[in-house]
Amino acid sequence: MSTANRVTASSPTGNIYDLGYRHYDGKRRGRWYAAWSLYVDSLRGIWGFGRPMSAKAAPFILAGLYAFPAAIQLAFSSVIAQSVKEGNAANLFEYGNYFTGLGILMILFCVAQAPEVVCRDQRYQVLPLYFTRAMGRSDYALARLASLSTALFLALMVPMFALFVGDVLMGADAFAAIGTELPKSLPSIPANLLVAVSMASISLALSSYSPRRAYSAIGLVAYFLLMEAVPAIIYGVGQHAGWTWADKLVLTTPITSLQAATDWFFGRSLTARGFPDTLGPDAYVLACIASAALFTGILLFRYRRVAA
Amino acid sequence: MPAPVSVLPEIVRITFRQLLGRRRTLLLLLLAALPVLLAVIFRLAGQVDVKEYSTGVFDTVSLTIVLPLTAVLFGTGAFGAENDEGTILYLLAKPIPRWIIVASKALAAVLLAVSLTVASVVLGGLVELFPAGPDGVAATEAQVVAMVVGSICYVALFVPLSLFTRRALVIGIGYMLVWEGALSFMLPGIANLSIRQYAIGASTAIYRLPLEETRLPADTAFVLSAILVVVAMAIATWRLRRFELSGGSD
Repeated sequence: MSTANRVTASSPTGNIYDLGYRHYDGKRRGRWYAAWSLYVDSLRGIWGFGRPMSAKAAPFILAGLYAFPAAIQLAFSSVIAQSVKEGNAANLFEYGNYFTGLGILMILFCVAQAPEVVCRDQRYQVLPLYFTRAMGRSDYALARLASLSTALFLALMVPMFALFVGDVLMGADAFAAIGTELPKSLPSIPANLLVAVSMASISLALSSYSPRRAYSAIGLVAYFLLMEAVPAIIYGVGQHAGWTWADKLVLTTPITSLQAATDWFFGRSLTARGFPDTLGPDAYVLACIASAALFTGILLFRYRRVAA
Repeated sequence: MPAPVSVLPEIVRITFRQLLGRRRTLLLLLLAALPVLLAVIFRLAGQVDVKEYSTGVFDTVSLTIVLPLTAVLFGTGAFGAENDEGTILYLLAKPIPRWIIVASKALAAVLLAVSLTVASVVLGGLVELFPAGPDGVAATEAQVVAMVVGSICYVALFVPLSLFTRRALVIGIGYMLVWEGALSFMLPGIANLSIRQYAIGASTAIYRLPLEETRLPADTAFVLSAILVVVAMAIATWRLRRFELSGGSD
């Protein structure tokens, strides 16, 4: 009795259910700092830092496989430079066609890691612990989204950097080569940023609807596969039937439209690769931005409603 | 005590309940309805074309997406639900031979997967292929055979998998994307080890569907599927005899 009295007397913050634990009287850093901490923590979690080796396997293997062809091209840059001089270097990876060629690995990265980011908090019902603190529901969702986008962006940029180094070394004069190479490589930053944000928003929005990681993963696989296949099928049928609206459906594909948007950033032409010639590359850029906004909205809506 | 085989229908019935009473069953129904919807769109476009439909819808949607996803969910769920909730204990504590437990679990998953995938291709075929005449009817029958063989093989593969690891669903998806999806296109030698090719090969017993690649003759496909099923069931039974109950979380 006397102990309880002493504690309440010395602590002005005491409330009805004061158990007498020591109070925190350090600096309160507030909402933004909490969101920043969550961002840093989930970014580390996506790459498996602070977790066992088994958690590092999936992200590092997938990102490594994605960067592998660029690393090979860097390792053999002297050989390649020789054959470029002789005029018979075909099918080299460039900044503009890299994601188009290897994007499937980034889908797998999302399928493996997006459920890791959002499912466990729901499964083990720890969301109330976040939401009763300074951080709000949308702060939580946006911090998670930002961390997956950053992780994807890093994975996407590693091979770009390897290509850059390789191309510089292939040149006769390294400093002059940097001067000519830099303008060519810079569009990869906004292009990959769009890819990262778009894929992250789609996969987090869908993952957040199931507390079980396995079902989230299967849902993501189904979404990415079906949304690539179905619009293409309907477009193909529509061409025979003369449906002029069917070309718009290609804009709803998650990966194909990102590939087309990448082409816009690098000023490459779409028509050679079976895209509908009625739509310009700029339409795909707008579609990707719209899809990123839509899925971010779905994610925020989900966290407005989710039981905490 | 009743004869051991008489409990088989009972376990099948229980497994049906475990597999069906979930939100994911609704999503699977939507997935299976997709080829039918695409068939309707084909008809609306005025296109009745066995080749276009076989490559465009049957191959890319039914065979590549609907069949493996359905089979992986039912196949890993047959034991997965019991394992997650710990009720497998009550099943294993009964004096039922382990092979009967494995057989009835697999049977339940196969029946569900077959009925869903076959209904999907039959309805799609009725809409799009039957108007194409005898070729279309034969193509629909061939697709049914492919779905039956594919469902049986996939389920037979995923049932033992779910007894070895709690992450069977994720591994199953990885297998489906990497092995059946990417590698079997790049490496033709995998045909002998690809359930997708077994299903396509078996369908040629009825009608040769105009698909991109048909790598196995029908009799080889049937023999290989039978071997796969027997070996998988034997492994599952062996595993269940040595099954250790785990109390941990996933």
